[in-house]
Amino acid sequence: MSNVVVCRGLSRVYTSNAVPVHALQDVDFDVAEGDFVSLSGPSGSGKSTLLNLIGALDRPTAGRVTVDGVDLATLSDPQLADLRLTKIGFVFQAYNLVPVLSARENVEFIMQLQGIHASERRERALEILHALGIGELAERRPGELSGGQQQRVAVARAVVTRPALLLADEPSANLDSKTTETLLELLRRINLERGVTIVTATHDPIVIRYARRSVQLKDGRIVADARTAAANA
Amino acid sequence: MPLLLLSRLGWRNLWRYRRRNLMLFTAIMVAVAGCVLISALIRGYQYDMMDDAIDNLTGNLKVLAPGYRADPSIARGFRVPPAFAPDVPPAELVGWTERVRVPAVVISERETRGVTLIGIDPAEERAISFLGSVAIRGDALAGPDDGRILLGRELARQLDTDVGRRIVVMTQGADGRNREAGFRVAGLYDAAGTAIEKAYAFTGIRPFQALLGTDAVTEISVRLRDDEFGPHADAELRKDLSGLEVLDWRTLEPQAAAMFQLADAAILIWFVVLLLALAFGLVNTLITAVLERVREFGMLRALGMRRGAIVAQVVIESVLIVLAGLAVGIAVGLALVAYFSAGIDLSRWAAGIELAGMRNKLVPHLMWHDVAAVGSLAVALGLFASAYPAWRAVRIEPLDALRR
Amino acid sequence: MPSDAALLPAPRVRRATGIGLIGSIAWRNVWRNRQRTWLSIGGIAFAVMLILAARSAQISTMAAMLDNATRLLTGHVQVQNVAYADEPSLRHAVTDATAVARAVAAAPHVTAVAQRAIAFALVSVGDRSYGAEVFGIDAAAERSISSLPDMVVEGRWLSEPTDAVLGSLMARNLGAKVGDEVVVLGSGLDGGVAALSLTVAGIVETGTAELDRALIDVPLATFQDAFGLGDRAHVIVARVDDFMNVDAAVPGIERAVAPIASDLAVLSWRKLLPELVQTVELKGVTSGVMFALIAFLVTFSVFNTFMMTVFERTREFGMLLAIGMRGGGIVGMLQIEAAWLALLGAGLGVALATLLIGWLGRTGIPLGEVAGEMLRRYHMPDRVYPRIDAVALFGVPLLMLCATQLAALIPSLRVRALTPVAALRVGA
Repeated sequence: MSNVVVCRGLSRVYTSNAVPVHALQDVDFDVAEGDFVSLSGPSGSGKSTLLNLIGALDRPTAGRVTVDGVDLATLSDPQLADLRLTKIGFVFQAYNLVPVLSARENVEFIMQLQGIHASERRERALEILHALGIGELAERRPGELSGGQQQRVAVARAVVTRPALLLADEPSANLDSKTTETLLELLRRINLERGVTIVTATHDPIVIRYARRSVQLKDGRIVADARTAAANA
Repeated sequence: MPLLLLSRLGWRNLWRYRRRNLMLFTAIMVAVAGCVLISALIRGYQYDMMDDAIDNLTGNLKVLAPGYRADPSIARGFRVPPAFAPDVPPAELVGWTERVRVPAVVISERETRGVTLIGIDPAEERAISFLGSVAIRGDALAGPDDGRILLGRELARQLDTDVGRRIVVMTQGADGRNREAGFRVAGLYDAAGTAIEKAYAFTGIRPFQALLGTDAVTEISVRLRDDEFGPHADAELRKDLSGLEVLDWRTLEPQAAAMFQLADAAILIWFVVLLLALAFGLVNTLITAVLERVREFGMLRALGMRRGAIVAQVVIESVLIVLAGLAVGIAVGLALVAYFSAGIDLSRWAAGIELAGMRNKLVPHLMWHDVAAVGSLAVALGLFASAYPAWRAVRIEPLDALRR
Repeated sequence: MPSDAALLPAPRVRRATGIGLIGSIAWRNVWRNRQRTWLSIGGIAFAVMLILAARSAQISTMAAMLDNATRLLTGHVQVQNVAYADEPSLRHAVTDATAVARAVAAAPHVTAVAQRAIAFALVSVGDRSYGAEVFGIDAAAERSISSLPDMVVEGRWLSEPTDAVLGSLMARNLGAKVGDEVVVLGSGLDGGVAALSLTVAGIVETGTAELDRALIDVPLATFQDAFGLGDRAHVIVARVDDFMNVDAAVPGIERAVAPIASDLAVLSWRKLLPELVQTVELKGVTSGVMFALIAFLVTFSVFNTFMMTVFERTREFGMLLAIGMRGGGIVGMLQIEAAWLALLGAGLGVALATLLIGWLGRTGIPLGEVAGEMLRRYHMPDRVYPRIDAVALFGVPLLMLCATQLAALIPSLRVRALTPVAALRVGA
């Protein structure tokens, strides 16, 4: 099994304030294809930073990131955008969806960006929404959806393009525990059934429980990295 | 809640939303500066109108015999009481003079033209009319006894005559018969517009009176330091010279008077228009500003602050921004007026303005009551634009507000 | 740096750059905050309506004023001897005046032509005399050219060869009444005395003192006889079908008269009434400055609002960038949103202006109260019926469109400079 993500000597220093912040210090990190990884740690540990670097949202100060065989350093900004479009799916804590588009249109949007034809788009969008159990919400706008429903639409959008990687940054932070369970059940299903590799940054123990590998960070370094109980289940 | 506390809160809140308030401030500043400059320009034009009318041998006040305006001949002259002087305090009086002004025909070797020939006292005249500021080629008239003639440059060109040459003047004497006499051209004057140069010729008043066979004059012209003093002077003149008409420049030059009045209306209209244009953006911004703080207001109300106090605070904040924009806007407007104080050269845009008899420099004239008008309008706008959305925002129940 | 096996090249993506995708999102975004949008549209509509209506009214008023002014005396176009404008003396005349007049009448756009001979002379009634500009005119032809025949207040217009018509103030100064004998004494073309003995047939009042004081009209033939002019005249006055066509008519007239004489000048009202031209131009400039200020204020308001909007949506933009949209795509979307605001605002403004001008065009703007004394001096008619100015109709909305596009560009470009991480972090 190959590694979807390969990081070597990754560092990220922020110099915007008077005191430089070492968000990430010399981190080596690989993610195997089909794995479900959680990055956890107290705030300031660097988990979100690591996720952003993997997701080509940010560039490292030092070190290298390779996603699906492509060295990110070799890519220009527009090329990074293309990579994010085709290879990576994102789910954020909030503000995931375009407010003026319906759920279906939000899912179609990402396919439109890729130039996929209208009929195919519509079919695939409805298919994924139904598969994730929110088919009846297809024509609603985000303003008409609950927090949990919005997150599920975000997941639908993230996976509809069959990305190599799905990155979720604090996906459950705004949800109650029951909704979180529903959401994570969804993620587990697509991880097992569709083979989507998932990496999530979180401090929510429920999320960590569902992941099969738990990586803990502190002060910009990895301090623990182990398989979880879920991995053996 | 005490005003001072609210103001302090308001002031600090201004700095919270620095970027947005800065933009508001800038918009207000631009609008106010524009208003100030425009009012100064329009007033400049307005007062130029008045000055031109007065300069143009009208003076602030004129004394005429009844009937002269319809029939401007020496037959409608009047005698001035000996040792007469207008009963106007020296501080208000710039000068006064007597004139004999009648239509005449000027004949050169080649051409004939109709003009208005005016017998003057050159020294007195220089103090009160445009003759004091024109350039003269050749000689100016030496005194009230100078029997030569002063022509406009354009007229001399049309007559094909020049300094030192002789021309013949024909006019109607006091007895109704035509008089003819030769005059030597003393000099040629270059006025602000060729229309004036073609219309007026000047000579010394005494020999002219002798030619006409009378010691009467056709008019007395009075120039005041401040036109506002006009009505006082008018009353004094009427007392001393009964049986004669006393007219001010507005009656004598009604077109100029009309334009003068239009200016007041024009300024007000421009103020309203400019501030309306500003209003749209202002209201938009203020509404957003208030709505953003619904939660904060809910919290304050939950703590026990009264609705009216919150509205007052919001209004105070807006008024503070408006006042700041106003202050700087006025300062910028003043700076612009000072920059253009030498006059804006109009000839660039309307070449040949001289032909229209207009000055080709527009000097801005700032009046403080215009500035006050802008200020009041702007503050009123700020008050209204902020009070309404603030009132709407505080009508929401605190719990609802906090939940947003 | 250690190298992994088989580093694959960057993926190639077939992108949908169509306006359709971004356009429909842009349209919906415009209506996200109705209040704000309507206020922005309102501001633009206000500016467009004001500028358009004011400009149209201004142009119509000016045209009416100029038309009136030219009607009174100068006409739309005059044909003169080239030397006459500089030195208006008797000998600088148009020879073969009748032929020239005929040629002018045949030129395109010309609807009426009249000849006039002019000289300065002494006018006497009884023992009173005044210097005056004497006009020898073709009484019948003048009716189609000038408004003077309509201004007779006593007596009648010229018809007999010994008739004379005087200005009201001239008549008063001379103490002349209808039926009195009037003598005109001047210098003829050959240097000899030109004398006319006429009867006052009528008195006209133009309302302009300078004219009423110096005006005297006599029959052309009588004038030419007395001054020894033969078939000469000083100005051939022409009237054109529409005031706006004057500039187009001048070359046609020049071509028509060229074969007859080479010493002729064709002058339009612009050269004949320069002070009016200057007044018009100056008014145009000053109001242009005012309009620019209004447009600027409204554009600044739009800019302000746009900045706020962009700022509020920064996280949303971060999300869009994250899922793979390009910065340029977001800029395009924002520009389209701004374009919608401008189009809707300008459209509304044009509609309102058209309604306003349409209504005023029927009822007319009563100038009497406003202008009062200025009516006479500036030859303004009692009422003005404004028409929409076509140039402004397209120019003003176009201007606002460009202005708002520029105003939106600055906030949009700030978006372009965003990195997804920075954008996502905003407000967190």
